[in-house]
Amino acid sequence: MGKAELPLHAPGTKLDRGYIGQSVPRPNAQRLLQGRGAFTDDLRFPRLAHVAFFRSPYAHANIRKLDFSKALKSPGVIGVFDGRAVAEYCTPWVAVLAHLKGIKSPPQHAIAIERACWQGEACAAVVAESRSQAEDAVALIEAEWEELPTVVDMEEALAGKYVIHPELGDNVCFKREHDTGGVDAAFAKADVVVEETYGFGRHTGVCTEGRAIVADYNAAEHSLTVYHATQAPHMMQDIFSRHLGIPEASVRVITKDVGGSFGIKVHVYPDEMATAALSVMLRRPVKFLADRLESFLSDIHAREHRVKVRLACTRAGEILAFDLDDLTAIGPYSVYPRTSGIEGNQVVNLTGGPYKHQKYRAKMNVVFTNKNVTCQYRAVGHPIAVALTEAIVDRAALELKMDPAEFRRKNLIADDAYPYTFPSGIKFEQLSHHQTLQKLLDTMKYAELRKEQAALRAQKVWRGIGLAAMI
Amino acid sequence: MDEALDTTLTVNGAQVTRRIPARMNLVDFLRDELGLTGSHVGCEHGVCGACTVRVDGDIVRGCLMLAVQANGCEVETIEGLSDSGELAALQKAFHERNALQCGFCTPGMLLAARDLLKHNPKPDREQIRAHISGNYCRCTGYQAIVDAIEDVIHGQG
Repeated sequence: MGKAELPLHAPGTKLDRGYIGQSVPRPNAQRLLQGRGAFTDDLRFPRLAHVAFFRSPYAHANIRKLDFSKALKSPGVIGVFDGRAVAEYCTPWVAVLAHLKGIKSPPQHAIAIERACWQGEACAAVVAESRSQAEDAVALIEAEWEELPTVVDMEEALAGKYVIHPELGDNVCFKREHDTGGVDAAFAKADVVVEETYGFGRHTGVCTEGRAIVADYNAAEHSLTVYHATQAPHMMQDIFSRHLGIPEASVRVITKDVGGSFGIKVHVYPDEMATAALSVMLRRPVKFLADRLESFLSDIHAREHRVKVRLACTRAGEILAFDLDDLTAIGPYSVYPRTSGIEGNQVVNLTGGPYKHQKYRAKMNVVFTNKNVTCQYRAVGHPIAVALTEAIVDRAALELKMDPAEFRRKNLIADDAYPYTFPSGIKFEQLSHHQTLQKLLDTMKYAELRKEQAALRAQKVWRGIGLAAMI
Repeated sequence: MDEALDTTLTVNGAQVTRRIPARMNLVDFLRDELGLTGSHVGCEHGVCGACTVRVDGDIVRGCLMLAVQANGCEVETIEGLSDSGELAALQKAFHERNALQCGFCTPGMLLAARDLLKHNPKPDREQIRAHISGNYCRCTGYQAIVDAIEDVIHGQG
């Protein structure tokens, strides 16, 4: 039998090496280079209606009254809807997962009913013939608000003096603790103990293309076609089916070109669910585009943490133990369906990860606040875990007056130690931290850089050299 | 806000006349009225450069110019400049260097790069960076974008 005839050679390449090592121009880049891509907002639909949302100006407030009378008379307006009207067509969701034991979150609706829990939460929807007409009418909605106490500080949220969702009992969405045992004993016998508290501000993805969705309901077939700038079309097919009551086989989610996602577009957004519900309600295609300002108010945020971390080591530079306490705030709801517990979970799973200490204690509290929601964004949890680990490792090296690279070399898990189970229970396979560190030091000419750094410091130039290991 | 004005302009070589609401941005007009969706709307306040188009030979932000201001003007977009071949060398270099990921910023980036080369055929790397600094790429492809523009300068594009 002859060899299988597989196309092992990259088109346009001359070397007989197959695809490995070849730079292959992307065929789909051509249309993007000519401005002939198909981003969601580029698609054209007959009878398309546009939705704009009336968003809460308060971080926490009861919606006492919404008056749509002026908005309804605004030119081009097709309909104005509150949370109750949309809830008739779209069931609420609760973002918890079975493997995150104890995680809790209240039901969340596509459009807020009775109460807004963060500034920017959609509280009404206006559908009009054009986006600008919809926005004109949004400005004509009159609301009566009753401001409620706000919880915006993580420590206050944890202390629970004011509970955002009283039915949950406290402001804790999720907590977790790892403890190998022996941590206090390791700290007691350590020559050197270093401790710091690190704060991390919120990040967000800022995709150049804002979130975008066109939902097109066919009333004759009771079927829904959704053109969606999403990272998870199959997940969304299930979600639309589940919450709009349309059989899964009758829901089609089409994702064409997407202008950046970075983890922002992998979640269920209430305003996007509302758009799909509005298409069902109005029996015509409805488009929602998150403009730049509402992207800042409603795209998921990430990485708001305050973490106390301690490291114990011997005078000879052997790390004995890590001990950390992570507090992270996620806004008023856990985000559907992946939950907002994963990022913190990664932090307590991975902090200290590249190093071979055996004593580990990591505590985490995920708390609700009256800010925009947070969820998984690019390298979920890793930036926090790596920053904590390497910052406290540098503090220890400084305390020991030991070269930071040397201190790391002493403590990195040996390259022949795999498979290896980190004390958090996470399994590592086939890592090569020592080889990698050596390669890095050679490439950057570490010794020379240190000399240059010392010389520059004498001239009052403060140059920093940082090292970080990542799993 | 209801006021509309009769406006005549040339878009990619063809004359068009429309009654355009006074408040409509040029990029919205091009996209929504003429179906030229290659110019993208990223920030709507002149920061990201995704809506870059050419008006009477100069690149402008399509979101910071009203469509009615283009009355009597010659407007060129990514579609027209692709068809005329003016961007061909840059497009080829961008393709070879994979100087795009999602492609949303790419039309604006190409127009900005072409504008630089028109005025300064031999810019150095810093000048390239400065000239495209008003065009955001969030997939962080700047290195490859600058490489691609350099390829064109050195005749390798």
